[in-house]
Amino acid sequence: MRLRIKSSQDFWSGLAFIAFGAATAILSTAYQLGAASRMGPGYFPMLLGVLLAGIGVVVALRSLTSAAGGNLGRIDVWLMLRLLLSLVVFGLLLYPLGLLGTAFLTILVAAWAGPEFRTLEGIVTAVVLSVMSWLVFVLGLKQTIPVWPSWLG
Amino acid sequence: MEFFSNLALGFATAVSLQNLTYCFVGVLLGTLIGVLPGIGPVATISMLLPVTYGIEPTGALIMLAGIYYGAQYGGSTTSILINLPGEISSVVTCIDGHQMARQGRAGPALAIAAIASFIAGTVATLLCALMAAPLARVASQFGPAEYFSLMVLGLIGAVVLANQSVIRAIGMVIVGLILGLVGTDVNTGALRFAFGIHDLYDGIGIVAVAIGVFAISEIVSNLEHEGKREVLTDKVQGLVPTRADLRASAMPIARGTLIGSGLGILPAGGAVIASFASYAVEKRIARDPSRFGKGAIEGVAGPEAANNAGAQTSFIPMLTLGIPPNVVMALMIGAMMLHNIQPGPQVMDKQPALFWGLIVSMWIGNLMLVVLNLPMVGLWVKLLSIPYRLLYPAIILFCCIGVYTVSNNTFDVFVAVLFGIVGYVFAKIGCEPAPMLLGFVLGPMMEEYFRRALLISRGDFFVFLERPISAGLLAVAVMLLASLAVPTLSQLRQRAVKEQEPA
Repeated sequence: MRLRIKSSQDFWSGLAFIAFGAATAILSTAYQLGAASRMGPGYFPMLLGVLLAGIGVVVALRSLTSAAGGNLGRIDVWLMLRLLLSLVVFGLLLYPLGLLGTAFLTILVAAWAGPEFRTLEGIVTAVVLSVMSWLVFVLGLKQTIPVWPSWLG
Repeated sequence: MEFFSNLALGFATAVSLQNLTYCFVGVLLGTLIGVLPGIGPVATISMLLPVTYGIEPTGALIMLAGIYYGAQYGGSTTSILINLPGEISSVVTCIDGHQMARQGRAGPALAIAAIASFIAGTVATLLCALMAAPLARVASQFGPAEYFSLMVLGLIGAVVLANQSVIRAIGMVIVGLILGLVGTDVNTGALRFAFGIHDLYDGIGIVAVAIGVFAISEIVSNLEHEGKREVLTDKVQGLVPTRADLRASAMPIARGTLIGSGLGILPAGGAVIASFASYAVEKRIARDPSRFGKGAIEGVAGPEAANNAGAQTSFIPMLTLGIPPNVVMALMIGAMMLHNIQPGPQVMDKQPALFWGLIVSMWIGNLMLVVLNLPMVGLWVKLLSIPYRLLYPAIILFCCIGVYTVSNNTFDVFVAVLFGIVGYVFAKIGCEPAPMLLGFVLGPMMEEYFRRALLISRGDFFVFLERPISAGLLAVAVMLLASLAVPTLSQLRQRAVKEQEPA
């Protein structure tokens, strides 16, 4: 008899749990385990890692016998990656560019990531919101955020 | 009359000009962001959490609590006016609330929701004040074994009540527990899973994780499902409910308050199903159940009361036991720890002003919500007509700034990116992020109690079964899991969980 995956969600979550649990358990061996009465730093993570991998095995096996776990829906990886790019832009550029410039680019990239991007509207939104964020967070809430490019100060 | 002196202390703390202002700002900001479609209370709180850092702890917690019920209230406004629930608990409000709005009765629906929330909030606040002291006294008798078992019960309960696949949710809890261990081990000083990255020595930041798995993946899934939204903004007129409306709502509000309070007190995330339970009860005892789903005001009044009572009373396990029954309370615990307050039964004794001030401020906040929202409905309606393509970039920017200002470090922004990916992938393979966040918050505490319990018992694992309270708590957890095997119960649960799924 050929084995067939009846629930792809169960299958992939099972594998993810096994991988994460096993990695935790393996990494825990680098720390002192100790004994139950006097636990070292590796004891609890090792326990959790093994437990998680065990649950992963059960979930993965269930994917072969029952469809109850459901199947994967539509996946739009590019949308997510484009959107996350806007956060990366913020993280990378805040120090060199300061808040105003970074906020402008973050908004622009985020708007561009969506399905209904319009260039002019995006630029206007970016200008308005970057000025607003400066007013609210720096002037209003007195947060310490670099506002101007570092090479100007 | 300890009860009254406690409340008096609470009032004295909460009505100071400073704390009233924090409460007001919290409620206003919470409602403002909660009204925006597609952003729930969890994302709202994690976004605004850093704003409260500079404030002293009492004010900060009062403001956060205000943000929470403000956001929740704003969420119901949104679900009545556009058929798009911002969070699980307003799904039920959508059903009849939106129908009322389509019949031109959005005003009364909004007003009844506000009144129901206020009444429920008042009762729940009293309940908090009454229950907190006895519960904290019981909890202070707890040893490490009891605490460990209580956490197990709390996590299992939250998972059983609110998730489609219980075994996958338990897996996610463990993933969270493991992530919570990253950083310096408090007992030995050893660094764990830090990979030599200096920014990880103090652990992964809870705000970055919450923003990543909730806010960012919420935006992605909203953009994926960007469909037609029916905004009913021109039909809001005449806020005043008729006498018949009020009469029809009175009993549902009372029952909803009872149901919500009862479920919210459980350390096991009962509040999540409160609004659903109330809706089911109202429908069952209605003389004409066929009216439900077609704009029955009872279907708004009951669930809204239950929802708010549950939200309010879920502070009880958080404040007295230090155990978060849901993700919002997990964030509150995170906020307390950032202010160097160790959550647990000792908070009431060591910080009575903070404890009672917070409880009383919840009532004041609810009052503000009613006063603030009924006249401002028009403004919220305007906010709703902003298209999503303009909103979400702003949300992303505020998330970035929020994450950055936690410790003025761009490292956290990249952590949020990583957890955005993790959250997205896990959502696609059917693993919900909420249990992971609960585990993440409880991880270090659970390890600590586990260690201490076994240190005292000299390594004997039966300590968890030999101590009666601990054994009892574990028995309830096992019974909850076993109940899944009973066919009728598991069908009931499946139905409840399915209806919670955002439409």
